[in-house]
Amino acid sequence: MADTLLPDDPKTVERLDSVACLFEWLRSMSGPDRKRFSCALAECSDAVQEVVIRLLGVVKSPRTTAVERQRALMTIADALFPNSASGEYGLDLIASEANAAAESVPLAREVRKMDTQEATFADRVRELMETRRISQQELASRAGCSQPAISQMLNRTCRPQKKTIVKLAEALNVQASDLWPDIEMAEMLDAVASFQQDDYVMTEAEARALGNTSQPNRPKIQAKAIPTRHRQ
Amino acid sequence: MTDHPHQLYAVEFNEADQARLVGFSCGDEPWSRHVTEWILGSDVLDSMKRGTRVWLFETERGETVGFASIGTSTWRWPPPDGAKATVVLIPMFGVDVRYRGQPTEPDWRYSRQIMAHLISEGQRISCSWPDDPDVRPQWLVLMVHRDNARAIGFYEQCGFELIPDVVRRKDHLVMKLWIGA
Repeated sequence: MADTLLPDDPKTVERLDSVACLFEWLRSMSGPDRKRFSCALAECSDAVQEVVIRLLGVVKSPRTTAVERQRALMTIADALFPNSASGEYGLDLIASEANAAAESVPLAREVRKMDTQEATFADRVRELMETRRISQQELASRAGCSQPAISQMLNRTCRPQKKTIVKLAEALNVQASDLWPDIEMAEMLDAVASFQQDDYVMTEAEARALGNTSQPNRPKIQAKAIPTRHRQ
Repeated sequence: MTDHPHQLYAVEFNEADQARLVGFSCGDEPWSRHVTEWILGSDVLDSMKRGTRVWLFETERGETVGFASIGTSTWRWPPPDGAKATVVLIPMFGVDVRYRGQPTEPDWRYSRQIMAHLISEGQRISCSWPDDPDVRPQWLVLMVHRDNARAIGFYEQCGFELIPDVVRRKDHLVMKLWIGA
């Protein structure tokens, strides 16, 4: 019966395993911790939920080293409790030593991307509210969300969903990228890519600097190759 | 013979290594975030397709301290010349914020070991350049954000010089170092 209910798809199985793992972990916590943890999980965006569940999911891998495990736990703690950098909760999570692994790159990337942008987001929104003299209540009603939700976002106790960012941007009459500067990051990466571009025509200043080889500036440190290690 | 305890080891980077980099971060400054993003995202892979070599650097115990890359690019002298000039360049170089300024012994500073490696690699590329010596790359160049004083200071200590009057996209300055004979 169960076989007909659960498709025999590795991804689904993996996900169910992850969810089972999450429950197991929740059960291992004390009452208040469990409550705080599930609240945080419920409050965060779908993307982060996905990330946390997947992180937990890769858990059982015996290939996971202690360092990787600790990092994974910190990543989870960080994703759920962005404010506790010094980590009251992070430490709890590490201590609870539930289990977790770190094999999923996209999720780490996703979490980090949100981390770095989130602080900017809260700052920008707060700034705009001040200069435009808009109260949390007013912003909430303009953006169609609750005042507590706004408060949580500003205090970074919950991460805004993308659609909320768009709504808030509209309500504040700015571009969404002003609040969530992914765009800026893309521009920086673009600059790096363009630096490597072939057939770049040097400016006169660059040509002067690179054309003058009479007294070139040589390294001030000793060139030295670092020994290579090979992975299996 | 045992190595110095702070000796770094280079591991040639490949896509699968991104999984090892969970938690890796070069810092939260505006000019640091995209460094992290570069090595964790698709940009590093795009760069490698153009021939860039990328390494992760780890401690004896296998902790990843940072990464660096080196490649070449064919630029052109401004018109009317327009001839090609090959440069060796460092597309990206990042040390995890947790290892910044470590260890305290200057000779073994991780950032310095990594730069010594890049300079050595740059010199190797220059020396082994196949074509006629006239087009042999003799400069190692890199780009740095104008507000990133720490990095500019570090590169200067290594011998790099800012190219005056040059600002590339998004407030980036260009620095050069002679790696020719």
